[in-house]
Amino acid sequence: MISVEEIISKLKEQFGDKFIRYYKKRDKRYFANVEKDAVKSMVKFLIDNFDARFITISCVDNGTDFEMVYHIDVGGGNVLSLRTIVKKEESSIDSIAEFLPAAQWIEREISDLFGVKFEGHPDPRRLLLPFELPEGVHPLRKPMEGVIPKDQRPSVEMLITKGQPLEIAPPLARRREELKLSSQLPTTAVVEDALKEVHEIVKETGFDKEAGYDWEKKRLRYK
Amino acid sequence: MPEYVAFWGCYIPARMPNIEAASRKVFEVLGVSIEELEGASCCPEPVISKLVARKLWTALAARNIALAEAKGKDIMTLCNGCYETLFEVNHMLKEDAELRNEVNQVLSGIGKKVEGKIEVKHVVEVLGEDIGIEKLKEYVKRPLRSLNVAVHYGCHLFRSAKPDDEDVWKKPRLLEELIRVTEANLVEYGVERLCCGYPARQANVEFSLKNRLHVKLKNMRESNADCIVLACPACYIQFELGQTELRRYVKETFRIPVLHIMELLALSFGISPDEIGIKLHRIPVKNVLEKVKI
Repeated sequence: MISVEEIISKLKEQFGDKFIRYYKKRDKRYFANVEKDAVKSMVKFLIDNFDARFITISCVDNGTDFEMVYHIDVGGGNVLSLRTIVKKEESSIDSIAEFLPAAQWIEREISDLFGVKFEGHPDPRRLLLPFELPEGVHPLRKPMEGVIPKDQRPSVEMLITKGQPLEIAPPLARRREELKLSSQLPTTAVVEDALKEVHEIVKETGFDKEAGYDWEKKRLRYK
Repeated sequence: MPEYVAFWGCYIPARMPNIEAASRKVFEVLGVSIEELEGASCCPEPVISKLVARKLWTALAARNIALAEAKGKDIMTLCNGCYETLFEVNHMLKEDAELRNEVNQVLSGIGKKVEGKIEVKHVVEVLGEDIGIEKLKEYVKRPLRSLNVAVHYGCHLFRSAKPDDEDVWKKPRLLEELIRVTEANLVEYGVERLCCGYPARQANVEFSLKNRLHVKLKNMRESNADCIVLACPACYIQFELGQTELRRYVKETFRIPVLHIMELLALSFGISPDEIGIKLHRIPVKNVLEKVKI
């Protein structure tokens, strides 16, 4: 029988960068972090090529994202769980039910309870919630909230965006000049290369992900 | 004369240029050479960021320390919060080789490294120790004899590498000594050591104002303080802005002027109030100036 390590090696070979990393938590329990857009193909690859059996999907709402965990029995009592992140702003992922009928109900259940849409699901009707419940009500879905306390969010956004929680605004710059001070100090707020270094550190320490910072919009993903 | 890299922090340049102006004037008079820390980021602040993101807090502080190390000069802070962060991280990196390696691993991505070669000093140490209290007295041209001053130390001024009373109280005592240099009267009000409430306002403004600031202000007024003198811009905000905000919660009105120690020294050195932007105070300092006949 093929070992789990060999299966994982085949997955890595087949999916390259889409397979991020794997770790063994304890005997017979393997976890792999994978990219969202490759989950469907990975599950299919496991089912088609190995003696694998789909068990179920777990969904965890961590505030800003959902973590979807696809549990697959890969033989010999070993369970490989593929973990991927679904951003709450998107709240959708490809359905695996089109080739795995056993996933139909669990995807409908997650859809009901968390409001995650499974694209391509053959029968996406409600499963657990009463039909009279208004659209958009999902009992286990938490509000869009990250770890930064409300009052601190503007400062944290500024800290990541500019390396400083406060800016020297034009009226204050004028007052500084009246006091014969330079209008700005040579901080990360004005020295671009220095700001790039701060951004590198923010990424390297993983604070951008932890705080839920959107680099394109230059703000936190929650208000 | 001593040379330092000035770490101005965020609040002083962006909200209180009066403190920066007073400091630069005082250093000019004393002949202290200060260099800017090009590319400095926020220290970062020592309460929320330290708790929420300790790895980031350590790495950003280490980067600021690395910038100063490259200049080969000690860091001087004018803010208790910046002092807490930079002093603590500098101390940890010197003492803990494993942490230093971890942090240098992060810094290696931006071509920087901390070696533990410099010291981080609060401005009260620079003035009180490196220059010296007796030397400072020579520069006092306008003694503030009639002024009653309530000192507020600020919690982070008690940060120390050694857990003994003498070291823990060294900087607060230096702040008192610096006030005495100006010949102002230090009044005792009993709750000097109590926090101003600034950190608590991040979670609960009402608690911070009623249970911390109000307690301090009542005692300061009862002791006939003409002004509050401190060494931290965060405490400065809490005392200046907080006195206005407090009206929402209590029936009393307080209008006690708030001065940073560098402003008090500047006034006693004979520097004109206009030159140091004394008019920028939210709570007018007029009564202080009248009392010392400026």
